[in-house]
Amino acid sequence: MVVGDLVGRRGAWLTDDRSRGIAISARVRLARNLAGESFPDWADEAGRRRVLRMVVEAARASGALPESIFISMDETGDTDARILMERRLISAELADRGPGGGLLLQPDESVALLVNEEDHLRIQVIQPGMDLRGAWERADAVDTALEAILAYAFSSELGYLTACPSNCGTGLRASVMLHLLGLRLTNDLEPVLKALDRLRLAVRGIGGEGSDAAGHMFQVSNQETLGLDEPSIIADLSRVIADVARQEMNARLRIMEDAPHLAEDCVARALAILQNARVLQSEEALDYLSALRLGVELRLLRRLTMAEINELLLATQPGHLRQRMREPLEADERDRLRADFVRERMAAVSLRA
Amino acid sequence: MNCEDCHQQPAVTTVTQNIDGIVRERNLCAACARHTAQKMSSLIDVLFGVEIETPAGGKAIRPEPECDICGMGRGAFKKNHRLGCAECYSVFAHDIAPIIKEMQHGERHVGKIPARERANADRITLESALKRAVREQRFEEAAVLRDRLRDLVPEGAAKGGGDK
Repeated sequence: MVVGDLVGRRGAWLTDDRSRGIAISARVRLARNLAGESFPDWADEAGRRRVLRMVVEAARASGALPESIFISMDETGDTDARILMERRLISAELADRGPGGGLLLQPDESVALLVNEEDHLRIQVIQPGMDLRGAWERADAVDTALEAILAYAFSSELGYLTACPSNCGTGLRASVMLHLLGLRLTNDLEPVLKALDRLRLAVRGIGGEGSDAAGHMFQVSNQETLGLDEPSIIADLSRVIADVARQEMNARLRIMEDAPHLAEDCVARALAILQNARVLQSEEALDYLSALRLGVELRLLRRLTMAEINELLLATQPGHLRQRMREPLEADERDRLRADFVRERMAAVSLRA
Repeated sequence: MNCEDCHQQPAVTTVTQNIDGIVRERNLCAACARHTAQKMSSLIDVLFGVEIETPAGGKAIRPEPECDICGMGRGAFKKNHRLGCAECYSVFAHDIAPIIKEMQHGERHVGKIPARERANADRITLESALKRAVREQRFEEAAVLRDRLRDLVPEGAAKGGGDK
């Protein structure tokens, strides 16, 4: 299987009914390093290759990822790297790593090992919905299988030793992607984001670090990894996420009770643009698809399903579009093709009377 | 004493400079010291390699602390807050402690422990208990401890050797 084969699929975080609604996907990531090896940024190429070999062998021997495919960053072209990033499987840092950078991926994309990103090993589990505990348990099982073979850099005082001290201890970063358009429409989004900040949680846009909140999708994650055990980190974050999801639900209910025309206007405008635009940028597409997502959930639209929106969310991203067209495209040409593609998909959709 | 450069501010540091082989010591204010440092060939060397000390504290030049294992110097760590290897945690402990205090919930790990680390910790505890028991001639207890030690996984290897 090659990266291009992923393009026709929906992605681990968008695969089933649990990815409808406010919590789109849950992700857990464990940072680990091998004892006696320099961390990837500081290691030389031979060292990174050695670590890659050890991790890949351990993964195979442990049976932790039974059907995994291996993708070498060294041999991954721009479009493929871009596709992997858009599917939230790898970071820009891993995409740029070159020799020694690698990805071991279960075919359903739910479990991945990122090798020689910031740390030697990142065990990543992505699931639809907000089941952080389930994601943690899966990551924990993979980790336990791997640690039987690999000797990790570990200290009894600081736990798992990571390239950046901000990840040491458990090395656990958990996050949930939330769709918070209701709170935006009721003007309640800012206080919620501020409260999350006060709780020392990080809030990022859909693209991860450094990205803004395109499509009103926010990734909320823990920042503290030392001084708390894994179940506490997961439980604390889950509680807050459930709270935010409840707030979003209340906002949606309030809109539909007090000012349904606000939601209808937002959805109708988005549909009008997606059905008529001749040039469409990817962020723009994300914003309007986000509005249609709300429209489907509030039953304002006909002949459009959540699965179709989820598919378009990925298909309209630059890398996916380029792969679909099977040729390198200039940005403005891409915007035109994106508009054509979305227009065609939206042709039959209509507002409920 | 006023700064030998700007003659305006009180001198707070002594900077040792090697200019064309001639070593000079100059008493400078903080701003001029910083300025001088920036003019020197390698900022990193100056900021992290050469210790600038107050006149009362002597004028020692200390080499940059460096990790024996991976060779990372403090300057490189300070630049992007990433360490070179696990050993750097000991080498740069003083630089890391405030970062951990600022960013983390606590200063000690309380989460998962890899099986082989757990086994090693158990071994150390059992070995010292065994020694104590033998020394104190509590032989029955010693026999139990010896059996428990034997049941532990071999040193360095992990329990099970391959959980599926």
